Amino acid sequence: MPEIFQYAFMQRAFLVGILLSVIISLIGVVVVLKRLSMIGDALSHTSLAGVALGMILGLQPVVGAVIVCILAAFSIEGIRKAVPRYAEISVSIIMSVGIGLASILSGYVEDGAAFNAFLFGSIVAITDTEVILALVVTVIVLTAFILLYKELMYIIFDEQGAVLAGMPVRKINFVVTLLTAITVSVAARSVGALIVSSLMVIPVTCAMQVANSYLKTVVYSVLFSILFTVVGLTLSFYLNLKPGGTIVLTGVAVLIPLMAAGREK
Amino acid sequence: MGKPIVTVENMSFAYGKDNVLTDVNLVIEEQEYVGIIGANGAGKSTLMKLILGQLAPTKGEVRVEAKSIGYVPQVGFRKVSDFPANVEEVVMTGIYPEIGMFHFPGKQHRKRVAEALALVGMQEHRKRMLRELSGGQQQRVLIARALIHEPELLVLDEPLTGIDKEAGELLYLLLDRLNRERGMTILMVTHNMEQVARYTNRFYHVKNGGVHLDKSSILCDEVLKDKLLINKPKHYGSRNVSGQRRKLTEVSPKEEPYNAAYQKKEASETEKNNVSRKKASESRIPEGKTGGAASAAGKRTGKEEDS
Repeated sequence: MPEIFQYAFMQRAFLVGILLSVIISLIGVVVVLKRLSMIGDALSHTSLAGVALGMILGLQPVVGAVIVCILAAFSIEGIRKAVPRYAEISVSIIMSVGIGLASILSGYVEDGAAFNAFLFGSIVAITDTEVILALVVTVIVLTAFILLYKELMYIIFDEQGAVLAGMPVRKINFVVTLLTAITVSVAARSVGALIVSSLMVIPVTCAMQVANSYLKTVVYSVLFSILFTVVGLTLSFYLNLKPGGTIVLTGVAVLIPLMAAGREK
Repeated sequence: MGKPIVTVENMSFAYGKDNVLTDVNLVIEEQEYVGIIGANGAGKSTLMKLILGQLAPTKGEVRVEAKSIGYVPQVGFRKVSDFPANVEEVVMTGIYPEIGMFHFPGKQHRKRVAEALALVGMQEHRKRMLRELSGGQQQRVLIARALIHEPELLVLDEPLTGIDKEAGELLYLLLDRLNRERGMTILMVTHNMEQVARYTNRFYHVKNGGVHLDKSSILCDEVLKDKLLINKPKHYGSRNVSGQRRKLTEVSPKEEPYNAAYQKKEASETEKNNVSRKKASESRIPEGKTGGAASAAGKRTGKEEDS
């Protein structure tokens, strides 16, 4: 067995990393194609406010992050509908609120090191409980995305048409918003709040350079995401680098030549 | 006289306090090819949304008695034309509502996609990405998507946007063929008067808050002459004097379910929330085509919305 897999913490890191890379990329397909790529950024920054709040109140930080993230996600949807012509400002407003809250609340957190762990993640230091949490969230998100594959594609492509066709668009959007908030909160603990949005966008962007169908765009996004996580974790282990940042930079290193090749076509 | 597919009676619509359409009367009968023209901001897209049930009238009523509607959105928007899907996948979305939630397309669905693409002459491009096609080809794909569930009424929103003149001409010929050979009722919203005048049976102008029939289009088709409605607004630029002004409300699928496959699943919930709408739903054609992406047989009235 290679040295990297002899350590229990690395086994857990690979397991959780792969699980989260699958669901983050699935959420990424929706937010990127809905032209709401910054939503991951807004939610992850807001999740930090939830982490700080959880620590201050003596709750599990992840629980605080999930609650605040859900509130933020629905606030984005609410503002988006109130000003549909400037939908993107909803993301900026909530991101500003999230950063503001996180910076103020972090001043009241006693364990600064524990809070910082959520900024860049600590995938090699996660507990068994967090492994189970990641597993449960992965099963839920994966099931929802498989069962709603057609409906999600229709809504992303032509939301107006989906409403006309009688699809339960509001309910599906509600489910996706909820799952996005939960995924971001859970992923913040392992890959880091500042990195999770990159993981939403980069695998999808890579997939769009090579895929010749929507199905392949989804599948390739997941595969790219898994590849970046595995390679990033391995590099971080042997080169003694921060795992979250290494995973994201591995993705960027693949994306740049793919985009260059795409332009030459 | 053919069966009326769309009937708009004394209908007014306002966005908040701003009247957009006033006292509109309009009838589209089966197998007709009707155009709606007007300058940008005149209200033609609002009229189309009212007919599609995406908006509810402030006053009067809109009756749509088509078993299913095929809607072709504009391709000019990047969101549609850049979507990373191939032609087959895009056309398949037209029968997604028919397949139903939690089910996946099978061989028979792929066969129908091939047939719809053949109808618009795009069968050879079925594996190409939508973004690789020209504007005219993208429009054909979207028409195939609308045609796949054999709609009784085909509604096109600015089909010439982003398309060169030659491709536009081919598109009009295709629509003309669908109307003549298949007897499909077509409603087209556009600002291109020249081509509308050439191909449609008649066309309406949306201007100054009113909708009126273009007199030149009456001469285009003498047979239809005696049954056309011309209605100019009595109160040009005035507020709605009926006192029935109400806030703009989008008609959600829960309120106005178009598709029976989805309607069944939400029936109990819809029933609970729609007691006040029961009367209106009784007046609908009860046997909506379950396979349509947008099966429609609905009536939307200003009064009903007020209640």
